[in-house]
Amino acid sequence: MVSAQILAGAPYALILAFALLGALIATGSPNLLKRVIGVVMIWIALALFLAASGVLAGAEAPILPRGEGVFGRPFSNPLQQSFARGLLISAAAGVVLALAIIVRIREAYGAIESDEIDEADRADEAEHPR
Amino acid sequence: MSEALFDFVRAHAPVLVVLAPLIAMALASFAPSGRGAWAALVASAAALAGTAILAALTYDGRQSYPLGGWAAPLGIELRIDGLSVYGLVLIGVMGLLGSIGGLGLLRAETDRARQPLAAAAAAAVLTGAAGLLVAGDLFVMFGFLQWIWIALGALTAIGVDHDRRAGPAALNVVVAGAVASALFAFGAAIVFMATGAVDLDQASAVLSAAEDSRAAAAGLAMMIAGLAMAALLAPLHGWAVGAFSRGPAWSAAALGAVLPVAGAIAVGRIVALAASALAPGLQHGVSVGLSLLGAFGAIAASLQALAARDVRRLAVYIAAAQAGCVAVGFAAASAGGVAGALFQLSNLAASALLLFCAAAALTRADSAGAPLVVLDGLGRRAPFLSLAVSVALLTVIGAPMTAGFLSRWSLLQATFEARLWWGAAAIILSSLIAIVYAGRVFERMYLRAPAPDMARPRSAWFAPGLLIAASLIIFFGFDGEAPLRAAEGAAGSLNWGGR
Repeated sequence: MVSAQILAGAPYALILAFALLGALIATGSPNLLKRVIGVVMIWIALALFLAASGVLAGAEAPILPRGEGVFGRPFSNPLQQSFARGLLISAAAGVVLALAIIVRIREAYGAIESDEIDEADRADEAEHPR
Repeated sequence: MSEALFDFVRAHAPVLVVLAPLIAMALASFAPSGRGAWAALVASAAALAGTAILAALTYDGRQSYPLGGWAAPLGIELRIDGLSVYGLVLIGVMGLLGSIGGLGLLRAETDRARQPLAAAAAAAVLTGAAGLLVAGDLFVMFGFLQWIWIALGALTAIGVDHDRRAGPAALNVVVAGAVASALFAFGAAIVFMATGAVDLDQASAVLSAAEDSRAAAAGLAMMIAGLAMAALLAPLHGWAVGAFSRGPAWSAAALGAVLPVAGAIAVGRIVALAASALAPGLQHGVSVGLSLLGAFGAIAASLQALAARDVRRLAVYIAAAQAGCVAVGFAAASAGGVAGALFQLSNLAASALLLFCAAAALTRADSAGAPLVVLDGLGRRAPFLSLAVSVALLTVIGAPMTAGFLSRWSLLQATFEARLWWGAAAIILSSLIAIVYAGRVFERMYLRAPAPDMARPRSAWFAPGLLIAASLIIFFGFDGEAPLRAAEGAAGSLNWGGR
């Protein structure tokens, strides 16, 4: 009984571990592009988490077949899937903006490593003390 | 005619507060000049403030506004209740007063072609803040939260033209904001799995009948942690330090007082959700966690304010220290505690507006910074500006005859009642530390001679906002009846389970 419970929770545990890894990369990596990759990992984990919570074993996607008024077979919960879709849209907007900002940073600093950027800032400050 | 207009605005208030800045965002991004875009931003802030004030004056219980022809819990619904009205009035008025002053700086420090986009991004942040307050379900809250970070990241990134350090600060806003809103969404998903509800009312109803709510507790904790970043709770306030001290100087003036208010009210909503739970452990756990976070935030940010070497950073740390006090009040999770927290929140908003506007006016045109030396001799160079800064600092300390005194008083009363001793200690300690950093600023403003090459502060456009906010702080310091009554009404509109 316990092992069945653990088995049922395993996908969620894996997904959470993946999200945690993404969070570590997003906040800890010195490379700005890798930070964005970490953010993408979190969003993917979140979408999987939502979809997994709505899945029914043996059921089909909650898309009404053309010409039929009702579902003939069991279908997965559409709420989580529609939320996952909305979430991926907002995630894409954020990721695109982050990549655009990285381009601007590269133009301004000639670097996308946070330690090089910090060094450039320190050099600036030494040159023009505030 | 005007009566018909009033009725229309009142009936559609929940959606108008979001639509006004949203339309301004679209208009501003196509505006031919920075001036036109700025006018759209100010007009939308005025519309937001006007709608919110009208809704507050005619408030008679909760107002639901279903979108798309589907009623909640199936459909998406915007709602106005006492809590959101209180927050909407604050963000509308502060957004209006702050953005009025922005024109001069917007034109001075932003590239001509990007001025309309900057104003559009500021309107977008206002949209997100208003939406976060009126959202009726957890997933819509998530959407507006993510929206706020994207818009603020774009706005901060526009500052790269003036100061290249705005680039990394903007990326930090977007990346940390994504992590925070993902954390919120994970929490919402877990609450959904535990209760089968995303609608706030429905979730509250399920929780108030559930014997065991351990899974929901994890979700609620994650949501509060995700919102703590918007609520400016240290140690999650790093984004604001970057965005408001390195982004465009006027953006901090326009939005510095708006975001902490929206974030804190959203935290209050989740706390109310936890307080409605039947299982007593849930409310208690949220209380302990939030009061520890708030107490730590109040003291850590106060200590950072001691070490700040830049006026804009100082303003961020001072706002964060007060946000910690607000969180302690929310942690009391009672009508009295939340009323005290909301009163303190209005004090935070007014003082943050004064300090961010003053800091923007003092920011040097050349080196894109406002080192503390710009305060030297300010009492003689700009008596009005230094008076506004003094009022803000006095209310942050909680000096008598300012609104801060009364708000700290009601907050302390509530924390004593809830037996949150460390929270009360943190509030008192942050006041004491405030005396030290405020004293240093007073000394610079009134006792030192100005440096010889000091430029004049660019304060003319900020004058109306400074004047109104400072007079409100003084007025409510003598008669705190109105804001306290409003805060009590807002707190009373939520279900605290008899606490």
